[in-house]
Amino acid sequence: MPNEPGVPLLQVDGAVRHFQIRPAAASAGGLLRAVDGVSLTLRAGETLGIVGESGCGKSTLARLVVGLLEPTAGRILIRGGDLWDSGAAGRERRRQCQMVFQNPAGSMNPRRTVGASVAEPLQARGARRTGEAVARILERVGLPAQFASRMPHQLSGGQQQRASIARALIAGPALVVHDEAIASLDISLQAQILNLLVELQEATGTAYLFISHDLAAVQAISHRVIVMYLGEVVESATAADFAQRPQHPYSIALRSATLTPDPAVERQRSEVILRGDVPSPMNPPSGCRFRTRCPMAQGLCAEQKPLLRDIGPGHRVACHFVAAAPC
Amino acid sequence: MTEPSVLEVSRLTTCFATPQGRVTAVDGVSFSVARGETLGLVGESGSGKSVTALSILRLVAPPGRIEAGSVVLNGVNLMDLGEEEMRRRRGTEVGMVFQNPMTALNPVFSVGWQMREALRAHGSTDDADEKIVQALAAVGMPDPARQAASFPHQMSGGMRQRVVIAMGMLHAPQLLIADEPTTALDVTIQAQVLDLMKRLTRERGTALLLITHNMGVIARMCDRVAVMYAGEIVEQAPVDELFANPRHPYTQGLLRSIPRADQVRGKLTSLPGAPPDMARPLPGCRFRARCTAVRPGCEIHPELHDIVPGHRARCWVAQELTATEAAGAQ
Repeated sequence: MPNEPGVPLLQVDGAVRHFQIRPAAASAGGLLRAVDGVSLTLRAGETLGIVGESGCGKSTLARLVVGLLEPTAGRILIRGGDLWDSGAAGRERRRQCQMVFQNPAGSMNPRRTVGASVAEPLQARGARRTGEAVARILERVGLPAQFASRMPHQLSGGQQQRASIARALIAGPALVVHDEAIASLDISLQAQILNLLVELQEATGTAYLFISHDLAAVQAISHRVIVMYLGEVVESATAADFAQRPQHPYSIALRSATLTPDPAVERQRSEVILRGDVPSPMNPPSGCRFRTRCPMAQGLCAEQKPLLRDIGPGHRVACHFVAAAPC
Repeated sequence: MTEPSVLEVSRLTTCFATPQGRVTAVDGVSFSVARGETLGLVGESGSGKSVTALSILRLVAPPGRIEAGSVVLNGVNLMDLGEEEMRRRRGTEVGMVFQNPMTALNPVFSVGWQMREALRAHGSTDDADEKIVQALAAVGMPDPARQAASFPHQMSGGMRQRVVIAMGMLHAPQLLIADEPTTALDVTIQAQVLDLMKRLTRERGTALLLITHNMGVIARMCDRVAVMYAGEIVEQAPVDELFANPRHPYTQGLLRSIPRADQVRGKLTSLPGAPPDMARPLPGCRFRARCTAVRPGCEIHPELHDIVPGHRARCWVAQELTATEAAGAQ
């Protein structure tokens, strides 16, 4: 794999994506700031988890990374080259990024066989005979090869999601974006799919961007974790560091709201229950966007936007009041 | 538990006629909920937990049919009531909160109008405005008098679910049935809504039947838990006992397979296989195709069996273990 040391596989550099909303809803110029200046890097073979609530921009970010949306500003770089370069180079970079969607039934063509859908990324690269490759990848994701001739509705939800993963992996991409890929599955199947993703990553070295509202699932699969709020990154840390000491007040709130399947833990859990709802991304608060719900907010937070800064090795937080780790 | 039972369900059985044949969605389910108690009904999709709730309310629509069993609410068997008597009890004696607040509310009427209708349906029209404002204030709605004039689409998901809870509690029912009440909500909002339901049911002594697939919600909210699999209750226990000492291999597998926010990357122990096809349930123990403890004898259907007082499991292996432990203790 042509992956020069020092150049990350994926570099999102100040990505911005705004949507123009129809004038009737134009309270703030009608501009919805879905992703508002996000930067991140992902190395080959690594899993970066992105967690946040609805409206935080995580799905828009997913679409930017796989090239389903063009950024309003900023750049998406694959091995140092822009995803949106014209011609063969840009096209090849976009092919290196595949996606697994939340709803497996809705992401497969209901009128084509599973095999035909799974083969599509290969055909897009001009391959003619795909039968053998399809059989191989289906077995790889734990489905019998003869499922290639079935229709999507003949598969259960878990099997459909395995087929979607097969389709994303068949052409050997460098990066797969999983957008809420386990959210629609039963709990007993979620662990199966998470384990499968880890196994496949160990075998193929594919990097994952794992996007979910479920903090526990994100921590179970990720090497590093990013927390988003209203289109911005508020914290970025290694999964181990984040599990032990989330630092941003929003991360702490998210963690305290994530229920643990253990009544003893639940009884002694410290309450950080946030007041109110997420403000509209059409009209985000000035300064720190979290300040309207933050238990620590002060005057400064409305005036000055906190920047992401290092508080420890590989740990960055955007908050005026989080001190660097004493070490 | 010394509190009397508000709800007593026995051997409830509900079937659906489908092109694939008869599906027994709820198969001989029995449980009770006491005053002020929260019973969690947990299971995966298709396990029969929602059909159990609909059967209690007698809201199962054809091709579904309640085939057997009794549902005794405050000493009255709901299965014996006429349709009009049943209608009067829905909303007054049993409140309901469903998963999606957007479909539970009518989009073209203000929430106050809808709450007034709920009051009028049960003949209580005196000082309706005051009751509505009080009910909205009780669920933590800021500026309740103004919010009563709002339409559902003007509210966030969390606020809408608060309205649905306020409507469910409007007539101070003795029993509240909540089916996945927070599944559609973001986690920080889920925490707010769960704490609200806990506070309201505790304050008013309401019995709560909480249906969910989320073991974290169970751990947070419930006093006792019933685990459903393939239309049956396979394990039932007080909440601490269930999590500390699960006896059914399905419960054990489920608890092991859930990632936790206080843990980091590592292989999860997953349950093999997938939930069963309810049109063709396995004869004998319905979990045996996925069970790691399966052994000869599991082709015979096990009954729910007492492990210790208050803790029951539907598993031959768990029964044998209990018997061995009892013999060892003597």
